[in-house]
Amino acid sequence: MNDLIFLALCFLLDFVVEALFSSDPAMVGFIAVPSCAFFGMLLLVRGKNWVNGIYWAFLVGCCSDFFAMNRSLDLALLFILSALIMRGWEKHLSSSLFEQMILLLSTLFIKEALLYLCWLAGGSFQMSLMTWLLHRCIPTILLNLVLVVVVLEIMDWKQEADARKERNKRREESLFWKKFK
Amino acid sequence: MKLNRIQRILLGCIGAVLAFSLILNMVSGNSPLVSVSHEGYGFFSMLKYSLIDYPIRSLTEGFSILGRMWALEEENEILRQQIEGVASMQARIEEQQRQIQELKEMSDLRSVISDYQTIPATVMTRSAETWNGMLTIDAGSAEGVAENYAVISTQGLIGKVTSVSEHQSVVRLLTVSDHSNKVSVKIQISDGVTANGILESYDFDEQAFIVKLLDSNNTVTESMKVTTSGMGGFFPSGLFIGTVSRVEELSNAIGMDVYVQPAADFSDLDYVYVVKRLGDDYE
Repeated sequence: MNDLIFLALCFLLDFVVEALFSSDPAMVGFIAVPSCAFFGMLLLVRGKNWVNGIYWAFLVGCCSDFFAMNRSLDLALLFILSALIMRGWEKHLSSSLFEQMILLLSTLFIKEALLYLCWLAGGSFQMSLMTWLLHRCIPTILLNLVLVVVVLEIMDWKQEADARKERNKRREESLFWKKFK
Repeated sequence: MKLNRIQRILLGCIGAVLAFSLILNMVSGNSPLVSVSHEGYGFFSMLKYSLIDYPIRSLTEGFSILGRMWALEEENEILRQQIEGVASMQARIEEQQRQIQELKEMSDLRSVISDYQTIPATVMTRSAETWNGMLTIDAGSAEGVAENYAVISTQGLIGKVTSVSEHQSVVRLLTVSDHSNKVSVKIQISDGVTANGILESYDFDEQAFIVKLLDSNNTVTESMKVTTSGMGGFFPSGLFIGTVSRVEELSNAIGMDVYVQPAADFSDLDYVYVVKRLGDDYE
């Protein structure tokens, strides 16, 4: 339940940031895409085994496709790939704030790069690498530099809530056994 | 880690769904998920608009109005001068409409390809993921909107309606290059002389539409106006698209690419109009 609440908060944060900064489909200016739901998915996947991680990545990806009015499950596939890539890297990093930020932002860069390759392969877009970097990739990374800290803070609250729930459960179990002493 | 039977089945289902969706996207571009998702998306977009987008937009508009207060007097002066010219422009338009009506009656025409009416709408949601170029507006079949109607802003053409529900519609922007997203256009070379072409795609590096000319004998130069020609059967003629910014001869010398600077500002789409072409052979 706490996992679902955490993801809902991440999606809500995305919606609020999207409403504050309107996107420019013509890319005359810069586009920065908030990715709190993506970070939330990666943080959840970190604490689970790889099979459950795939289920969560697929679920969050499908929700992102739905909210983006996407006709196919591109984001679902990208989220699964990103989760698998992140699981390969996370073994080499600890849980400090800085390293978590590096891990999440690097995975975001990989996801954006895969998305760009999908655009090119699909033939729907004529966009050079420099245009993509300057107008989309770098602004997205810069915006999410701030948002990733917020998501990590929300994750800390979630972990504290999980730990408190676990302690209460243990206390209730020990009280139950005391009746039979 | 050994997988049990249910895990294997679930992973297989996920793989099958993703593969099916990818294949359908490559083959036809229309997934069966579209009709399923649009039903739920209508309710979600209403909820998101009323709880998140509308309050935030009202707040930011309030702040921007406060910031513009100092420039109000200058803006008012410019608007006052523009309004003074409106009355004579309106009289000219009414006279031209009267003449068109007379010509139609003389030629026994029920409509011409430039006849249309507009349905105003507000943009409710627009995805930050821009590659699909979709936005949702608050006008649907109840307001007279149907699929393939053109959508314009106050500045120019922006896209077309791709799906309609009772009180909402989804609009596909022209910035997405798709075989179903081409528009027949005409370039105003001089009075009475136009060159026909097809608007095929949007180039993000040039930040302009690419128009392929159907006849390369015409001399197209910069600053010429580009409008819809009405020949495609869906859009009425005369909808402003933009101005020519650059012309490039193709290496095979049998055609040319015309780059058209969009008139519409795609970053500022809060209020739009759905264009319903009038005419008995449109449906």
